[in-house]
Formats: sequence, structure tokens, C-alpha cells
Amino acid sequence: MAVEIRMPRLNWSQESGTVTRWLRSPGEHIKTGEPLLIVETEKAEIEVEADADGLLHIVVSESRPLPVGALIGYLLGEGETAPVVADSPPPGEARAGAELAIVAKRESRGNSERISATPIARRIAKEQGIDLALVAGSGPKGSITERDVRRHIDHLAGAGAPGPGSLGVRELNRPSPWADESPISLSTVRKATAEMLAASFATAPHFYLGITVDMGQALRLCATLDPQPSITAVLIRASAIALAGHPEVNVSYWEGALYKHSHINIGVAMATSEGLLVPVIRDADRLPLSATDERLRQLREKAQARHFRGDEMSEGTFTISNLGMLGIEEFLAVINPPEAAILAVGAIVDRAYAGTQGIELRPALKLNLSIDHRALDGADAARFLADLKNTLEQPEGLA
Amino acid sequence: MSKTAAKAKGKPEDAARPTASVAGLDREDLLDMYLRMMRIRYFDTRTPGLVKNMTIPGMCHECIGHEGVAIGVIQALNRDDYIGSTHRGHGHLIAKGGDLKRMMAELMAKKTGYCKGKGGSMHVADQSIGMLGADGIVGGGIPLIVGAGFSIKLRGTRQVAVSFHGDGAAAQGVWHESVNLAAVKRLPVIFVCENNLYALSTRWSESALISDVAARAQGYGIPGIVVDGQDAIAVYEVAKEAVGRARSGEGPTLIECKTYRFTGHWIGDPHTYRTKEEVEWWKENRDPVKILRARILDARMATDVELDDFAARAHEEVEEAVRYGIASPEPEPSALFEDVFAP
Amino acid sequence: MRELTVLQAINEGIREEMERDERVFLIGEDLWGLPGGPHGVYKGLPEQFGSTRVIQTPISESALMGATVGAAATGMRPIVEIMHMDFMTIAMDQIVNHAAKLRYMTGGQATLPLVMRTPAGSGQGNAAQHSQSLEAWLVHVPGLKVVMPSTPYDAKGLMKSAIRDNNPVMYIEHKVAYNRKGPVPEEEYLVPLGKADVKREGTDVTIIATAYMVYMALQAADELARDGISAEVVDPRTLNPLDIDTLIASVRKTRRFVVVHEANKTCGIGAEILSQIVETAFTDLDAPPRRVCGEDVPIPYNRSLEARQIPSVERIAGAVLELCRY
Repeated sequence: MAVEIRMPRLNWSQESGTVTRWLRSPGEHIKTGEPLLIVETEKAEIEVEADADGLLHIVVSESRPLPVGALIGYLLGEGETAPVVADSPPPGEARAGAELAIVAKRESRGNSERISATPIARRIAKEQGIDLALVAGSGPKGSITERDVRRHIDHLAGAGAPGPGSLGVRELNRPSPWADESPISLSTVRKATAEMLAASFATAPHFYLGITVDMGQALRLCATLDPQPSITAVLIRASAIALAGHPEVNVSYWEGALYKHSHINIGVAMATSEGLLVPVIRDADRLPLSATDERLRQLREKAQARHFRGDEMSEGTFTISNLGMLGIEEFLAVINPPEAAILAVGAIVDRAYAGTQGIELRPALKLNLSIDHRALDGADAARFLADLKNTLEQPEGLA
Repeated sequence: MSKTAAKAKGKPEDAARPTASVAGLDREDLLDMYLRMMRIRYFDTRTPGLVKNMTIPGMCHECIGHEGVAIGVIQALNRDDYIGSTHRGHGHLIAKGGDLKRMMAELMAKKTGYCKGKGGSMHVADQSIGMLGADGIVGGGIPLIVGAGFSIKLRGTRQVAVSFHGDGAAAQGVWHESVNLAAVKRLPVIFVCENNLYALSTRWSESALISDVAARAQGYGIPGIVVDGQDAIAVYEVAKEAVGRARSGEGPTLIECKTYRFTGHWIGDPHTYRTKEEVEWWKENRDPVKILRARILDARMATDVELDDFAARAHEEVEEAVRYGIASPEPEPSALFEDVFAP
Repeated sequence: MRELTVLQAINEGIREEMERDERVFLIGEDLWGLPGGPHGVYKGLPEQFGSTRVIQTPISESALMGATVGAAATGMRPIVEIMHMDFMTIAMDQIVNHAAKLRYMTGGQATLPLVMRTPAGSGQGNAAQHSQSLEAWLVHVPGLKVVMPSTPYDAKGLMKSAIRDNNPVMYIEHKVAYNRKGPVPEEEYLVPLGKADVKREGTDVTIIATAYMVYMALQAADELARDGISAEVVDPRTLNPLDIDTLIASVRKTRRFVVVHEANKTCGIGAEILSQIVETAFTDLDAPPRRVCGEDVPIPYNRSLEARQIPSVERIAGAVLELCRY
């Protein structure tokens, strides 16, 4: 019995995916659970495993975006031939495809369906090509009304005063192309990242707290461990402990409500040739330092190979970005939505401290915490940061 | 109180000659009565087969056995007098002069029917001859005739309006309201109750404690008369008097015609609520066709051969009506929305 | 312009039509016995037209209604009064199975130019069987036209049109509105059936109201105006056939609407009007539509409970304010 291989849905908002490459060849014998192909989604490239045993028959080999649920291959039984896939699928399949498309659309619309808007607001938004996700609603429970959409349209046109939820951003002019340059289209990941960062910066009011941490004790601790954990691993571990003590930081703001997360999942920003990825260490507060470091190593390898499982890329509650290894002393990062904060880590540099016998040099790094002011106030964020510093400077519990 | 119809009067030496009239009805009248009665008889004998084979798609209620009442009463009416009817209305419409073709086409739900196929057996009507309509609600048509009575009085004409209904209707509140209202207003209305002893399956004796509906008339202050409904001429005589009273402004009369339906309430009703013996007795002894025929022959107004000819003529007319109905077209789909409102 | 009460306006309309067409006659209970009939609507008419054309009958709603149908079927133009709309129930077979259907069932042979006029409405402590507004039952039956005027101007104009209409028209009056005054021209005029009327123009919300609720809606609109909300009040006047175009045009302008009627909410005429509007104008709505109606209980005798059973100016204004949060 031929088993269909269809474009999988790997996260709840995914609308489509691209077959990047098949990991096995046509006709090969595949067993359930074996890695089968790589699919690129908006978030990352994800390795997909086989759901059944069978001989691989590939239907879609080239790289193009397909809707979730599209047929891409078969796992055939012995002696079976693959069903003929006509250009226009037979009615049953078309219907099944349509049903899947409806399900996919329903699920992908999940994002915008959670947006409450009146019928006329939706109509005008559709007519004018406005993304309701970018419109702030002033109706009850934050519903978007006609007035809100029209206000948004006015802002984009540069007319009228900015209202609530809008920065009065003028649409910038497209740069006029130079003759010898052709635009490079961004990969799915880069494009998604760009849009996400823009939205984050536009909607979350960022404020920043900076603190300097004496890393002397921490470095001594690391030296006692084999293998020696990286500074990032230490920061992850310390942040997890600090977050456990400050659940008010481990939150998300959404539509007028705060969502407290029950897990501490720390994302780590990683640069790859294809753009920024933020794999997530789940339940970071449960992992001792050595395990954290091991996990971090695994994720770095995966990042280079660009092979991630779905759950390794989702549901982060806090992010750490470390540019210290590139010599940056301090920087301010953009929050990774829908998280409430992101920690920017700088390089360890010998800094002057007032010691018992005059000025001492100690290895210190600068931490800068960016916070979503809708979720958290300065005092609470400061207390968190102070505790984080303490955890690092008196690292007895760190290991 | 029973009143038997007057027998035809004639001296013995006139035995060889036809009498000039029977109860004031001359030969032409009687032959016409007989023709119409045979039309009713054949029409309602023909319909069961058509219902069973779905040529008539709906239900019909035969009036076989009731012909004497319709023919007798309507013989006393003019063309412009009104009649109201019941679910068992074929006989009333035919007696009043209804067109068999348009009737049959209506039963067959064709667009050439009296009601363009939208009424069926229970709602056949011919307003042009004063037949306001058969009615599917027991007693429903009675107050309409009272209304016609008001209309006549207001317009000051000498028309009368007759309500045909059954013993079943005499239990309905609206029957009592209507009789009372017509009585109190002295309307030119005649209430003809065709007591066939059964309101569907309920015997008259279970519907009322009195043996004659007509007895109720006294309660409303109007004359109540009982007559043998199977004798069309007897019915005619009683009806003529009541019509005379109505036309001269003396108000309504309640005429109870004792009659019997020879078949079930509806086509296909096995009428097990009646004994076979009872049904057979009425068919044998009280068949209005036989009785009228006998009276015509007794008065030597016509011969057997002539009467057979008329019967054959009626038969052919019914067959022609069936052919007409079958050949007629169905209504257009747009007919669904027509005739809800008048312009 | 002179002002008449609703009662006077109806009276005048009937008189004019009876003078104009001798086929028009009145039938009902206590038309002679009580001055001007049970509610005074027929003041002066019995004396003017005499007992042939003003017929008082025993209490027999079923026969009365049926006689009205029969008279209409045989060339007359009767007006029957059902003393309280609640008593219409006794006449339902004649209304639903005969008046509404005789023309259709006879393939167009019967023409029934009749008017049933009936006072409805609560507010006089008449309790559950003498206070109902049952227009929804009639609107539901194909073959009946249903009108429910509010102002004296509409009452007279619609009565004349109803009498001239060649179909069964159910003309529903409101007992408490009888004494409301309003301008009525001296010269002859008609208000056509099937046309709604904008009683007050506005821009922020449409209030669709019937009968006595029109007055409540106008009062609510005044109060809302003090809060800076501009309410448009539309009176359908005829419930069947409904002038849905005027209602939709108003909703397209204001984007929000409330339907107000005195009859209790469930399956009331508001449900029908709301549905018709949403079916066509969904993408014009900037707020969910609302109904403000009588509570789903029999009408109580106690006056203050009775007043609570029907919509109040506060409830109407409150509903509008909710919509304006959008």
C-alpha cells in the first residue's frame, strides 16, 4: 500500500514549506524514523523523518514553496508502482488537497484569526492591502474597528496625527537601483527574520539596563571542569537560575495580557551563513552547567549543518546573544518576540576595580538587558539583572 | 322531526301520460338533474384509480352516496347564488355547473386546472358560478358563507348563500358561531348539514347526544328541517322553501340531510369503523342515483333508454376530462410565487 | 399644520374611505354598544353610516374573521376589528388557513380586500391576555400584509392604503400610542405599504423601532445626542412586505444597528430584520448587531413589572452605547 509523503506542518503558523533536498535516493528502502528529507520553513531548515517503511518514490524533488499538505512523495510496497500524478490531481485528491489547504489556511490564519476585527474593518483592510497584524485595535478587547484601519491607512499615507499603537512611520522610498547591481532576494529565513525584527522593534517599547560583571570567580570555576564550559554556557546557566528566581521576567505580553511561562526555555542567537538562527535550550533551569554546555555544543553543530528538529526552534521564553567572541564590548539587542527580554553579552575585558589595595584589574564583561516595557518595569528588570550578576560573581550554585 | 318528501301527484288516467312536473320540476329540469348526478357519480368513481396510480398526485375524498344532497339543494339555487363546500367538494362543484375538464386537470395538478394546479381536490373553486371553494379545514368554509350573506345584504341583492358541511363540522365551535351570527343578523344563508353518520371514524351517536343536528336549530332560533338526503327531489323541495325564506329576508334555515358515503373518508380508507352490512344496505336501498331514476321513471318523465343515454353522455364527459387532464401541462416553476397577492 | 392623535387619525382615515367607497363596511364587537367602539376608534361612524355598514356582532372571533373573508371574497371591502390582538388567536384558522391562502389555493380566483385592525400593546395594566403584540405570527404567514404605524400621520395614511389594498392587511395599532399627537395634513394623502420612514436622521448608529417603541427610540436618541452620539431612528411602518432597502441604506451609513420592538425577543420581528440586514450588509458592520425587546415572559399585571417587561429608554440607550465602543 503506497503511503503518501506530504509537506509536513512543523509549527503551528506554518503555511508552506520548500523541499530543500532529499536525504535518500529514489528506490531506496526506508525504515520508519529514518531521516528522509530537509524542509525549509520560515524559521529554519528542518529534518523530516519517515512515517512508514517503504521504497522511496519522489514526486517533488526541486526546491519550490508548496502548501502544507502537498504531495511530495510515496513510500511504496514491494512491487508497487506509484500512482500516476496528473497535472491536475483527480477530483478526490484535489478535494483532499483542498481540504488540507483549508485546514492549513485555517491554522495559518490562526495568527490573524486571533486578531479581532469588525467585518468592515476586515473588508477595508483587504481592499487596501493592509495586514491586520500591524493595526492596533481600539475597540472592546482590542478589536480592530474601521476607524483603526482608516487611521493606519492615513499614517501610511503620511497624513494625520499618529494614534495609539502607531509610530507615525513614513513609508520610505525604495532606493533607486544602481545600474550594475541587481537585488538579491532573501532566503525565507532572512526575510522572516527581517519582518519579525521590524515588528518587534515597532511594537515593543524597548528600554535597556546595563551592568558590569566580575567574571573572575566564574572563570576559576570553569577551569576546574572538564571539558571547560564556554562563557555562553555559563551565561545560559546563570540566566536560567536568575529567571527561576524572577518569574516576572519569564513572560510574554500579548493584547493587553501577560502570559507567564511555566518553562524556562533559553534561546541562543547563532549566526550562520544563511542568517540568524535562535535554537532553544528547553528547561534550561533543569540542566547543570556541564549539560548546558553539551547541549549548546550540539545546537552549534546543528546550526552549522542547518538541521533542526521542530521543537528545537520554538517556544523560547528568553534569549541570549553573545558577541563577545567577536570583540564587541557591549551592545543592545532587539527583543525576540513574543519574549519580554533579551540579554546582550559583551567580551571579557580586564577592567579596573577598586580593591582592598588600590586599583585591581579583573576580568569583567558588560551585560545589557533589553526589556519590553509593556511586560516589565525598570525596578523588576533591575532586580533580575542584579541577581544575575550575583549568580555569576558568586558562582557556587552555578555548576 | 322527519318530513317525507311529497310524492308526485297524478290522476290514474294520467298514468299513460308523463306528469307535467314533479315537485315543480319539469322534464328538462329532471333530466338535467340526472345528468349532473351521473357526472358526479362517474367523476368520483373514476378518481380512485387515478389516485392509486398517481395520475392524481394528491388525496381525494369521494362523495359517492351524497349526490342527492348536492343535486337537490343546488337545483333550488340560481347561478349567482353562493355555495361553500368541504373537503368532499367534487359533487357540489359539479352540481353547480363546474367544468369537469378544469376539475380533473386541477386534481391532476395541471396548470389548466381551476386553481392552476395549486389547490387540488380540497381547494377546487369556481368563483364565476358562486362556488367559493372546497375547504380542507372542517367547518372552515362555514363562516365564509356567513360573510357572503353579509355581502348580499349590504349590496341589497336577492342572492342567497349555502354552506354545505358535515356532521363533523357541527361539533366545531365555528359552526355554532356561524349559525348564531347568521341567525342574529337574519342573513340570507342556508346551512346544509350532510349527516352521513360518520365524522371520519366517529359515529354521530358519539359526537352528540341528539339524533338530529337539526334539533340544534331551535337553540339558535331558526327553523331546522330533517330530510332524506338520498332523495334528490325531497331535498329540492325542502331547499326551495329555505331559499324562499332566505331571499325574502326571513333569515337562515338549518337543513339536515340524512345521507351516507358509500366509500371511505378518503380514497383508500378501508373504513373498518363501519360494518360491511351497513355499507351494503345503503348501497342497495338508498342509492340516490337509483332513487332519482326511479322517481323520473315513475313520473314517466323519461324512459330507461333516455336515462341510459344521459348516463353514457356523463360517462363520456368524465373520460374526456381525464384525457384532457392527462394531456395538460404542469405549471411553470414560476407559478410557485404567483397569486400570493392581488395587484 | 393641525395635530391629531393617532386615534383621531385612524378614525379620519376610515371615515374618508367609507365615504369614498360604499363597499367598505365595519364589523366587530361592541361597535354600537360602546361609544365609538371599544377603543373609540370608530367615533361618529356608526351614526354616520348606520347599522347596515357598521355591524355589531356577538362574541365570535372565528366566525367574524371568516365572515370577513367571505364578504371580501364576494365583492365587499370589510374592516374587522379584533378587540385586543390577543383575541386574534381565536380567529387564527380563518386568518392563516383562509384569508392568507384562499387566493393562492384557488389559483388567483379569490380576491380578498379586507383589513383586520387590532389594538395591541401593554402599558395599561391589562395583564397577560390583553397586552400582547403578536405581529411576528402574522409576518410569518405568506399571503398577509402587516402594518404597524406609530405616528398619527402614518396611521391615517396607512389605514387608507390598507383599505384600498386588494389583499388581507393586518393593521396593528398600539393602545398606549392612541393618544400621541402629531401633524396630519388636511388634504388627502396616502402612506404606501412597504415603505419605511426615517424618523430622525443620524450618523453613528441606526435604531430600527416599531409602534410605540418609535417614541422610546426617539427619546433615547435625544439622550444619546447629549453624549455626542448621533442616532438615526428608522420606522419600518410595514413589516410585511419589509422595506429592507431603506434599512440597509441606513446601516451602510452608520455601520451599527439596534432593533427595538415591544414584543418579546425570541423569534420576534427583530430576529427577522436583524438576519435580513446581516445577510446583505455584513461587510458594512463595524459592531455586532443588537436587539432590544420585551422579556420572554408573559406580561405581568403589576405595573412596575409590566414596565420592566418592555424595553425602556435606558435599555435602548445602553445598547447603543455598547455598540459605540466599537
